[in-house]
Amino acid sequence: MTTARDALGREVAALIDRLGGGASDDGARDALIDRVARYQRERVEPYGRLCAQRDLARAATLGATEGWPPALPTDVFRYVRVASHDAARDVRVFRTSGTTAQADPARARGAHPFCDLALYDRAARAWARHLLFPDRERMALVMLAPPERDTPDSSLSYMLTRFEAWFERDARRGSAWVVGEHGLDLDSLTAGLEAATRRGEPVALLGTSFAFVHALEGLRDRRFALPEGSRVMQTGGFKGRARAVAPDAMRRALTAAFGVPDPFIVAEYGMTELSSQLYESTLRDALFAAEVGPRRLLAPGWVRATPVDPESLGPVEAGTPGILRIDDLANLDSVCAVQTSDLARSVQAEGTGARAGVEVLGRAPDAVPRGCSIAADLALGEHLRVATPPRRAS
Amino acid sequence: MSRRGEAPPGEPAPTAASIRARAEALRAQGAQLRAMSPADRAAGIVAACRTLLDARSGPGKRARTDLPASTGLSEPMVEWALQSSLAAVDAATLLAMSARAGAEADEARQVVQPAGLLAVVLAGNVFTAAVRALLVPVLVGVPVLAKASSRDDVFPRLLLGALREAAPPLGAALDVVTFEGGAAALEASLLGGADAVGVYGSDATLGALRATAPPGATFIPHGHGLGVAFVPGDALADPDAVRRVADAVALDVAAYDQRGCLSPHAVLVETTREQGPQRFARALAEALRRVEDRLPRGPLGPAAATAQLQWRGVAAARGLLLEGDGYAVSYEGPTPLRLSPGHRNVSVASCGEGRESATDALIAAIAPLGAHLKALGVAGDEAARAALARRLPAPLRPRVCAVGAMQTPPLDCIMDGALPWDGLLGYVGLT
Repeated sequence: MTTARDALGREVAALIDRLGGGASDDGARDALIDRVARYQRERVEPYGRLCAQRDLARAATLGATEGWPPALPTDVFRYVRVASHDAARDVRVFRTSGTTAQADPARARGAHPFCDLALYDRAARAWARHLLFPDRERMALVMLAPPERDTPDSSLSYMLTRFEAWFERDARRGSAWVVGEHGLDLDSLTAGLEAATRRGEPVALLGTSFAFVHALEGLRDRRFALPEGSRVMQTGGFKGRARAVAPDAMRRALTAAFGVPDPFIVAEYGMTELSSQLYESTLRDALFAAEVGPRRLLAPGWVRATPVDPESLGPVEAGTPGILRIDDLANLDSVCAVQTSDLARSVQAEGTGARAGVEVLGRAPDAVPRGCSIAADLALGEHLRVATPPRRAS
Repeated sequence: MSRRGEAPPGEPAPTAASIRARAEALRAQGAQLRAMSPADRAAGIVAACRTLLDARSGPGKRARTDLPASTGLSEPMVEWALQSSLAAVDAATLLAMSARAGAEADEARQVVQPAGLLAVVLAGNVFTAAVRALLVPVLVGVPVLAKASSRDDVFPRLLLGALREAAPPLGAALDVVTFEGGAAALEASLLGGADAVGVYGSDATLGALRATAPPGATFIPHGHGLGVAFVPGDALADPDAVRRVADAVALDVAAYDQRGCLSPHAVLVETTREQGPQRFARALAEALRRVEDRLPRGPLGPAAATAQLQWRGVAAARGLLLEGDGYAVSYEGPTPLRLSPGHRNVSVASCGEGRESATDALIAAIAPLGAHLKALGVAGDEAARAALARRLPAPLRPRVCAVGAMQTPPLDCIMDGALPWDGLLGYVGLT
């Protein structure tokens, strides 16, 4: 018997297949987002509660936002299970990195349960093919992240391990994984890069921004001239880390160290709470466009990435900073409408006819002095714990 | 208003040398300050407060034009804050404080000696905190060199201007500098010449400045914190009482847009047959809506709005969220309470049934806050508050007060477990 989930899953898969090559069909996407969200509000309990209360609030004060199902804030993934299926059917639970939890130990890690990874794989493969590997079926990969076997709850490690299967040139030898339980293995990294240089074969370095910072520090003044066609994909910011590097400074440092031209350095925007990824446009532009357009993150056709006003929750005008909301149809078994805490603005490729994208501006700064009680929150975590009271109606 | 971390227009940026010189000048003013009678000092302080209260005076006018922008509070909220903090400063209270401070010593065995100079580092979250921080030392004869928050130095400078205008000898015993926190050389100059060092700020700021202060100086910490409100069942006996308590708690939440270290972030409610946390949460949401009409919340910055969005989303996803324009109340059931992001977002929770067990649950809930719990508002009479205060274990030393008064501490009350003049006075022994 075909279930509603199966039927929607087939539609999402078909949309991914149809738009994976970079085409857009916003009408089809938005209509399907609406139907998936309706399905999820019936089956994902916390999302149903959020929708019911948002409906009331909208009716009272916040105005209508037609076509925009309520978005579930990412923090919810840290407090309650967000899934349409029972835990017994989980095939994988991805968890947030814990950098925030380290800064604030009382905060739990976010969890994103999956009962089926087929849509995740389909989405990840299609969009990486389009923006990261559009010119090569396979190439040598060097991973600046731990492999899946070491961190089975990391969505990044899972994705990169799939990349190895999909895109690695030497399937028998496998990719070079240069981050292990003891951190970055600089010798392995150096050996991998030297081998690629000797062979004259381009290499893709894929990993977290933080791992790249460690690599740059470890390499000091060492310079590589990686073969033409080499590329870098870096992901993640510096949340909860002691060191932070501005994106343009980071790219300059990567270019200097590895000899990879600026357009071939591509940021990925992914989250544990999502199933699809966004990639910067520059590599594809450099390969196929007349000119490299403004650096921007491109969402696949089955994803709607929208900066919204944090109070009205409605989309902000193009170019105006807002809080990034992402509707990801590949999130079929959790919630597709996700509200992040990242500040972003939409970026148009004026005059080129190229696809618009978004620029993530990081976490929002605050102009008004924050309260001392908020600082106390950070210092204390969630120490207010009340003994479970007797259940009774009130 | 000066730009972030900069001296105001017309005033050169402070240097280590200029701060040292200003500290020395203030210390020299101490003799003149202490030569004044307590009554004259009290009269001068009251006159300065009246100047600021008067919207037609220069400082009063500037307060009303500049503070909404510098603090992010609405104009009515700024006016409320000015009135509630300055109007209560009267000569009788100040004279009584002065007498109490001096009366600590046995004159036959000790001589009271005010500190030669207090260096105080202010925070920027609740602008009227400067009233107590700057005026109490002057009242007891201690000159003050204040470092205003680099994010908002408007009010300390207005207070300085009012004091210089209304009572020049007192104004000469106070000075204000502005620079970005963490400037090691400037901070060392600020604290280096002081006998007493008062610091308002985070645990990290306190730790850093405690290490910078001279070893012989008295350190007076005012760390970050928050408030909690407790509503016993008998305070909600009838609908009128529910409304009264809800209005009082709503004022505590709304004051300073819940950015102060006295602001309640959670309201713990004793469950009874007639009343429970959900019903009180609804009453509180209604009350916050009424307060919003009178004292609107200031605009939210992107970070605050984002934090609020996430906090409210979790509340809606796992419990009851009652939100309106400028406020929200959550009830998330029998789960660990989440501290709110402030800006008029507050959690309501049950702390059990029956007065004794509710009190036990309350104390168990707040105990881990330790010295960070700065205010405990209680919907009950004086006897109920005293009974609760006696049960608080160390290091819990909040100011226990009635709900509705959490954000309006009297000038002479105990804060951070200390008397207002603690650390400002020393004693010369005669034995």
